[in-house]
Amino acid sequence: MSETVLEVENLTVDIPIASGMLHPVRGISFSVQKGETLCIVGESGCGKSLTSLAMMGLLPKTAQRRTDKLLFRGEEIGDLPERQMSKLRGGAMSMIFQEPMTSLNPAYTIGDQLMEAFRRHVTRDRAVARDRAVYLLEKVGISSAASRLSQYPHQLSGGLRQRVMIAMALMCEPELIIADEPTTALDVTIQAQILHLLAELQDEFDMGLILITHDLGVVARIADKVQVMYAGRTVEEGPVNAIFEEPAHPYTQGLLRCIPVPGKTKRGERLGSVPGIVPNLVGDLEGCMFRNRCPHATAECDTAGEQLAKLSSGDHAHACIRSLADRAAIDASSTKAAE
Amino acid sequence: MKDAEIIAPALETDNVSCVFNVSQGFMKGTKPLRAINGVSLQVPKGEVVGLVGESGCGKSTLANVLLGLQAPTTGDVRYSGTSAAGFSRKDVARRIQPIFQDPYSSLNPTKTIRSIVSQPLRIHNVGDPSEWDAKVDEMLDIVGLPSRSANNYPSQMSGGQRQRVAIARALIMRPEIVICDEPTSALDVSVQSQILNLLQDLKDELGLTYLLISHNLAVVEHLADRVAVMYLGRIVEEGPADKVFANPRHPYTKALLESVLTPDPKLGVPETHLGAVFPNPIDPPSGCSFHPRCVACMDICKSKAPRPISSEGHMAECHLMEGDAQ
Amino acid sequence: MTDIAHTPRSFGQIVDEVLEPSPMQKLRKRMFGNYSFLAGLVIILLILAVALLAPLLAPHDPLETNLSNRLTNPFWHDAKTLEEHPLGTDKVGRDYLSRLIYGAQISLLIGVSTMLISGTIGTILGVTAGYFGGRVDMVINFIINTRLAMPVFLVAMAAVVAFGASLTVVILVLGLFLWDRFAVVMRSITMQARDLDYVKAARAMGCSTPYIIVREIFPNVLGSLTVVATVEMANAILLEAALSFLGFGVQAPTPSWGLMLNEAREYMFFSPWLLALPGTCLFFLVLAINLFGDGLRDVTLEKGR
Repeated sequence: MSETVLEVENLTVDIPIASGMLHPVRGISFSVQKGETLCIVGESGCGKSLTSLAMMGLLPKTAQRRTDKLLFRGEEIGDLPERQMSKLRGGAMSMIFQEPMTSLNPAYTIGDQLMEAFRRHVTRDRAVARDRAVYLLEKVGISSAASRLSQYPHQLSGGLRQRVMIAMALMCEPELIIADEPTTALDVTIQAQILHLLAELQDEFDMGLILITHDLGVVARIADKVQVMYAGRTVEEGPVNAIFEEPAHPYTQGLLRCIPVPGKTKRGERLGSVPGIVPNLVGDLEGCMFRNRCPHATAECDTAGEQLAKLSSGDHAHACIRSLADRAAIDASSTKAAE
Repeated sequence: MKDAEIIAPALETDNVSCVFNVSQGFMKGTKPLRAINGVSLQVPKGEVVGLVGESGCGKSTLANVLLGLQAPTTGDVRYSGTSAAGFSRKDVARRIQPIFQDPYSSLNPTKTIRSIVSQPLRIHNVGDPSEWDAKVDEMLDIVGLPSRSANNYPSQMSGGQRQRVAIARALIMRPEIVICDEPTSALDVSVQSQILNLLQDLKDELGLTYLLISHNLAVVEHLADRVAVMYLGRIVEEGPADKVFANPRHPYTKALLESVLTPDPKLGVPETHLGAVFPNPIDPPSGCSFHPRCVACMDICKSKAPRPISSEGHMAECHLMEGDAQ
Repeated sequence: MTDIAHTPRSFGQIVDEVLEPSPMQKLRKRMFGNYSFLAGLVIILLILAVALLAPLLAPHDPLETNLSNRLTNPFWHDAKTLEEHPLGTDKVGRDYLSRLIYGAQISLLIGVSTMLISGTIGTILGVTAGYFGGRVDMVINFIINTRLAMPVFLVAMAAVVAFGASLTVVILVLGLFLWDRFAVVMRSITMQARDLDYVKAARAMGCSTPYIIVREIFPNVLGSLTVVATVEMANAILLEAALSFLGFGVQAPTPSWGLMLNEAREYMFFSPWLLALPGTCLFFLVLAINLFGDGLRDVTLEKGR
């Protein structure tokens, strides 16, 4: 019944820099179905934004991308020439960026920008394009849509601009939307509205949605599937309930302890933290990349692989060499030793 | 409660307004913009008051007034009961210090950490210059930085470390009050909690008073003893944090609380029922300035501004409350 | 939460450390990787050394005339002259090599002192306008525009006619006129720097306005200031040469490269080196300054990323 829109297998991005080869994305695999929301969550430097750019073929010139599979609607797009890729990008696959002001051209009206891709990909007919633009602006909750067409981006507030961006992404009836931190620059109230809108539209048009964010609150509310990234690898993946209720990887567990949750964490109580910083991803890398920040790390982790291992409940997998029970046992013995 | 009445609040504003004249374009004259409009706020000593509101509501202007960077058009600011009217910039600086959101722009890139942290000592010429180095080392230790980092430049440090430097700079003069303006929103999740823990520890250790400005209500709820909600230059609700969060009185506070995305996958994306449009502060709506976005808007809201009504130390400005009071 | 590992003390030391070279180390590394910067720097240092050591290097007094020995050929035409006058003599028998060497002094003197005068005026105006904004900015902008509406060259010629031609007059006229670019650039950079949080932090700390401008803002605009300074220095040197060539600049017998070009005009077809030598010197000096400035911009301004 469900149809896979995008399938990525073993995506790797390498960037040569002065001090050696940087490996910001080191073998990521995932897939998105129609009508499904995948959230890629991670902190700055984990490679989540480069992953999204790699899917769209928008990486910087020096970066090298390798994939075993990059299937869009079942067709390999990894080796498409730039010309066809750009056709795909404006059409069946579209992107929403964090900062709407920098992705809208200040020199053109909202209407021109909305209609541009549509007239390039779908039909030259201006009237049809205009009708669709007005229809979508109303759809994303912009009042007096027809008169907005002649306005310039700077005349709109941040929330409105992000709505315009969403309308623009929807113009050519995409089957997949990739949204990179779409609400980070917005106020909380507007953020809720925009996410609500995205979820609604996704339902209505049966699109695949890949949402990239660092905000666990956003992930919990909107995702179907979650992919937790750390240092260029997926450290945990699974259905949203499993991730939040039974986080398995020490990093996911640590992240969830870091955020204050009204009603759960007590006022003034100390929050958990993940000490240390993200490792340098230049050169040859060996072992688990999280070991320098992991409270359970032992000597084995220096050489451990980072393969995802399935957990009991179906799709839920994590990339730690030890199971939850093992870690608890190790911790218990080490506290005993300390005593 | 009684103590608060006897001891003057660490920080207090009395009906403070700030009006800017905004040019309407060439040869068109100016129009007044009321960035803050009659704000009375008390920050009791040793407590944390959270200030929340959307961008453009006047939070930053209020912070500037409290820091003495912006003179209020009318009204009075008092520090521990003393009016700031006759204070010099340095007098204010000794009492209150800011911590900013972005640790990348709040530290001068051309200076070493030692020079940044010791700057307040030099400006105020405190004590013996030969002791300054020791003071800097002590302060760095308090905020959890190794003393060897004193010779580094900001570009050599991570975001979390920079924020620690900014905190050290703010605290080296031991001010009574610290204004934390979105202290964690530019940081990564795992670093945010470290900074929040640090702020909490420092408050207990040094007996600080915080005004915490944030749009992250989860952070405010975690740290604050009292909460003030600002909308279009006015405080529309103020009270003890647990009361405001458990039982918000103003429809705007309710909407704000509904928008908070707690990491609970069982709850979907909230529907806030707020119109998208934040009103233009140059041309505010008549009556209650919130009425165009309010779900509970009544006829009276369009014509008459509500007055503040408080009970049990919990204030709200809404016509709905007047019905209750009668 | 009894697990101690998850709640490390934030008092005491934290473990994360960024191992980055300091800004000075980075700057040094970039300087030595930037060839146009290095090439410019080497040529400038060479010319500077020649100018400073002129009394030791020059074989003759540049002003000493010898009418019996006029317009002798340089060594590539006449090997005999190699010892006495390697580059020959000019129309009144002065040693051409010595005049070129002393000419470097004049050019550098003009370039540096003009740059200092105009840099001071322009920076003060630009930083003031940028920092205070509002009415101050409006007034200073008006002054800048007024200055831009005046043709430097014509005013310089008029001033020379009014006050008489001399080195001092040329330096003063150029110095008082070439500040516009300093003012414009400093104004816009200061405007950006003014709104940064560290300036706000300094104000909240109780720093006085002059302190903030000098200690907080100035170090951060220094990079751009140096770049403008090199451009203006090259500009001033060329303007001096042009004025001297037209007879409105430095007066004979001062050995200025522009003046030497003027004097060589009539011998262009018979002794082309008289024209080519000072021209080449001028060309290399200006080229070197521009290379240096360009390189400096790349070296200092890419600080951000």
